[in-house]
Amino acid sequence: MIRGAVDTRWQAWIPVEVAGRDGQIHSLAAVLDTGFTGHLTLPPELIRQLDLELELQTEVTLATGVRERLDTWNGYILWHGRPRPVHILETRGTPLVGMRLMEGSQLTMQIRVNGAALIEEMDETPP
Amino acid sequence: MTRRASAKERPGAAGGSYAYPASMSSGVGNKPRRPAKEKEFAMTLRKYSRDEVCDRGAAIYTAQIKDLVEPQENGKFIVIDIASGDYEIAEDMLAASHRLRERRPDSVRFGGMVGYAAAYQLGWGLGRADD
Repeated sequence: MIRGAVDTRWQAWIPVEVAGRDGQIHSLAAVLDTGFTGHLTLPPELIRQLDLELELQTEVTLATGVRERLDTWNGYILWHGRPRPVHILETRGTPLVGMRLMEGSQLTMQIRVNGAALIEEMDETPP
Repeated sequence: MTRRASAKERPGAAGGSYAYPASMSSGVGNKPRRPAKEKEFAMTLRKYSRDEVCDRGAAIYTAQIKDLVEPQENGKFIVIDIASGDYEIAEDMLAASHRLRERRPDSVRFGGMVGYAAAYQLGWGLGRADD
């Protein structure tokens, strides 16, 4: 189980462990964003530190409807204890975890300050 | 995938201690050493600007691909090599890009979503491509 927490602005922070190109694991915190359909966003300075590999260019639609062009990097994260390949979008600001990464997980959140955000792996068997 | 799966060797498990936002950057370890030889495809991709890749990718899609794949493939990810015009479609972007790279290691790749203006939403807005 992955354990995160709700902060004083009602943002749900969850721990993410990203592998650098050298295989070293870097721990960071990211905000869970159910309005984000990708895996993960990371800021440029962190992507440089991790020495990630550029995979492609893509476009995202922001909440305003404006389209933004973003570098997309290859990465691995440790998720439920196992390495999982992800595409990391380079954006400024807070790292975000999106719904594509959450696919296959069950989320339970106590929406109050310091409430727990728990992410469990779902049973593979379809309902 | 060309990356090592050495993440498996890491002691401990996911869900351990982690930094809160203020200390996020301190959770990052020493800067990894860059391998002596850069990956060729990364260099190829960097020959083009982000706008160039996106403009050419979108133009190739509209001129050569759109009529063949819409609407039956709507909602799937497409990755286009802007040099050759070759492309791959898959349920997720990783698979599409991986397949294209296997066939065309030197490809310069643009990723989109069939039938949509952009591959991803970041917050909900007017994301439909039916303009």
